[in-house]
Amino acid sequence: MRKRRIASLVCILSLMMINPAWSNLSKKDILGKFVSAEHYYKSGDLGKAIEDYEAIIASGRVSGNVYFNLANSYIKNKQLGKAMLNYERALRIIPRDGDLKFNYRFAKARIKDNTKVSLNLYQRALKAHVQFYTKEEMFTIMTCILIVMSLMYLIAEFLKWKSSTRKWAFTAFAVIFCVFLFGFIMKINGDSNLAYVIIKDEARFEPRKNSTIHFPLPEGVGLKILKKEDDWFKIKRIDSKSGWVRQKSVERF
Amino acid sequence: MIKLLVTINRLLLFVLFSFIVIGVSPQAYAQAVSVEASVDKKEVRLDSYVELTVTVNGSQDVIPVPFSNIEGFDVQAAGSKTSYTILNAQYSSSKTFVYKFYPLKVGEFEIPSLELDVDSKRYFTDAITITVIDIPGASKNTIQTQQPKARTLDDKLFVVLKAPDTEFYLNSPIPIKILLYANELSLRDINYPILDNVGFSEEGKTAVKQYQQVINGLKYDIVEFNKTIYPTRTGELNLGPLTVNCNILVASDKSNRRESVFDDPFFSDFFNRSEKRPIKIKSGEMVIKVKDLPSEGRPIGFNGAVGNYHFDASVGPSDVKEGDPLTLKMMISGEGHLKTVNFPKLDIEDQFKVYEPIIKDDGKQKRLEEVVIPKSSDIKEFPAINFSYFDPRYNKYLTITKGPFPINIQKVEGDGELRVIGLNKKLEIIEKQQELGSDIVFIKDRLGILEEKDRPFYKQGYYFIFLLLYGLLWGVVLFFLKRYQRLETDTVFAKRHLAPKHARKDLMQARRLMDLNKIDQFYDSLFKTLQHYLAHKFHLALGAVNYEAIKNCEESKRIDEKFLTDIAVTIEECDTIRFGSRIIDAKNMRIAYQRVEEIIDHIERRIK
Repeated sequence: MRKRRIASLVCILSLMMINPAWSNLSKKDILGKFVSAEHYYKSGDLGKAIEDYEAIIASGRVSGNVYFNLANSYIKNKQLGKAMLNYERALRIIPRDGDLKFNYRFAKARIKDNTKVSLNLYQRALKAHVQFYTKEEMFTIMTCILIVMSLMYLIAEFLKWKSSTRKWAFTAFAVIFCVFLFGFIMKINGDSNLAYVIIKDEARFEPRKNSTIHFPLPEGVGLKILKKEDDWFKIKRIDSKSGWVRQKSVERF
Repeated sequence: MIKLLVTINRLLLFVLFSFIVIGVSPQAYAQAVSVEASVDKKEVRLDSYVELTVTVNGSQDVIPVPFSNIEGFDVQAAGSKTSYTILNAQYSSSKTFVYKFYPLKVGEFEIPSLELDVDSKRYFTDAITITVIDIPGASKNTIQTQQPKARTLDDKLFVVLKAPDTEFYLNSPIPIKILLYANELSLRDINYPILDNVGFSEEGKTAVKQYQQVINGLKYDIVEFNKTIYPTRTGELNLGPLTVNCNILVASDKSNRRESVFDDPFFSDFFNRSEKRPIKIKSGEMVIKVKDLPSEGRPIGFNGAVGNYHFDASVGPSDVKEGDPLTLKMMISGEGHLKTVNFPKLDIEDQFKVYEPIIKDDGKQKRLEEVVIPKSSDIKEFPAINFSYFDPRYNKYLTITKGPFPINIQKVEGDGELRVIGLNKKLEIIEKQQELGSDIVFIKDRLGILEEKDRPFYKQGYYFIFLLLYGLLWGVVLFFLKRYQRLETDTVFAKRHLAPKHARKDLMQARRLMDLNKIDQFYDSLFKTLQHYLAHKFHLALGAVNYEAIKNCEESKRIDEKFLTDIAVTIEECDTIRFGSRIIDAKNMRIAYQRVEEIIDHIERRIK
């Protein structure tokens, strides 16, 4: 009976360890595609470059550089919406990359959108904090803080720290932990239902082709998808204006 | 005696309470319902008002009187109040509604009999006749007293809407005048006229001027509003009515004395004896026919500008190096619907790289600044710019041409370095000229760290296993740390915890002595082993270890009786041999040894 329980536990743990992500390309194949895409890009065959980069992404394994190169290919192919989408994806993996930030700003400046929302100091600081780290980094930092706090507890018990010293030390780590936890939640919320306009379109008051136009949606503008109805998405713009747009005009993040 | 006084006191209180209850009993509420209507005056000036008070006595269940279209008056409700009276133990209530009747014309008019529904019964008031007289001293303001006088409020206060014509082109400016006429009335808080007609757009500010004018012998104070509107659709459009909101100063009751020197508005204002009556004055309507712009003679590039415009354009600097930016400036001003006017579209993208323009519109003129970069040093001029508009004064299209603008581009030897592009202070630095003529940073030649899409490490099994193992390890370390701390601080626990360990050590010593057949020493060692073990386990002094002391311990209840007996037997046997002369063989020693082992083993199993 006991042995059976142990065996069940081992099975469960093994299943947890198994990687369910299926990849149809080996690392060697991925590298091959990456090199050929680079070659196509340099020779100006952007269509084939995009095809190869998309194949790498479809394999289930990605890197910030793949998204960056794909976005570059799109922007040169005059597909601003797709470029913005992939720059954003790259930013989630390599957020502090200088080249990426430059190209992202360049692409953003080309969007013909006048909608601007001014942020106060707190919002700007929060945005900078959220954009500086990846989700994985934030989670790693939070895990490390928890480990440090737990070890610190043992040391405090062993060395018999004063109560006030313990309080200060734990409060400091708890505050840092909360800052990262809040940033992590903000990041997850920010990415959920995010989409980009990939074909220039207009938002309408109702999910009908003949409905009145509410506001224009230039290519490359970021949106939040609120709900779906047939072939239409109800979307919300950065300034909280909402409307309906055709599904084919936007792509989910 | 005291009891009698207390009884009398209670009786008095009862009588007083009974009076209060009877006094405010339902019978006391019984009150006949009556309805009255009265006015504060029966003769009123055209610039004053009559206050009608409708009082309902004996009931609160009254529906307010609805007034509509009473000839000669404009009626406004001025509130209601409820009053209660208790007099001689009789309760009464009344509800009063107040209405203000503003006269609209001179003459005799009747406030009709009012029908009120009180407690589901109908009551009627008497009709009241009011005489409306003209404003005293009105003749002073007329030029000729023989001329006909304004007899109604509509004659004294009205709005006239004027347009220069009835036919206009689409988007062409229509200068309209709104004239507010007031004869012998003091107006305050005059608001700008409100135009809410569909098909017209308002632009620019409304100019206001005030003057006086005599019309048919009557002197009018005139407020003239001048504004420009633009038709935004073709067809026959209704213009008006326009509404002007303002307040009329009306004389209050206290200033009702006729021909008094204090009737002068100066004194009225000074003593605050007038009050404001809000009024909405509507103008008449007119039909405007809006025509589409003629297709004949419409120039190429015309983009809907209608009016009379000035256009200017410039391109500079004229001498630049290859790759340097030029600034194109355009300015449009004049009379017309500037918001609908667009700058001319330029077909220059083959020769110039064009950046997003900055457009400023201050209502009087529209300005454009745009950065363009010549793509080749062979370009010698910036092409001419044509701005076309339709001028409704001449019924024709006009075109203003500026340029071409000569430019001299110097060729730069070698690779282009840093290039500055942009507008004025908003300069953007493009760091490096790229391959393929792009402005973005080139692609990366390294694949980078591959990771699974949408499967971050914290969603993977090994992370949870790591957390689990770490948690277990931490728990174990904490457990031992706490145990170590307890062993250091809790001596009872420490002794009990270490008792079996020491007992095992002592038993080994006893066994060695047993093997050497050293009887006295063996029993001495065996006794000490048992004594130390029991003392530590039951927290007893060494000298106090005996059968009775152990049996009295609370924890000994968990020990079987047999083993308690064994303890007593062992202690007695050890004492007999240590202090007596009993002959013992090896078999007895082994039995005693095993007995002690069993006792310790049993106690360890029962008492942790």
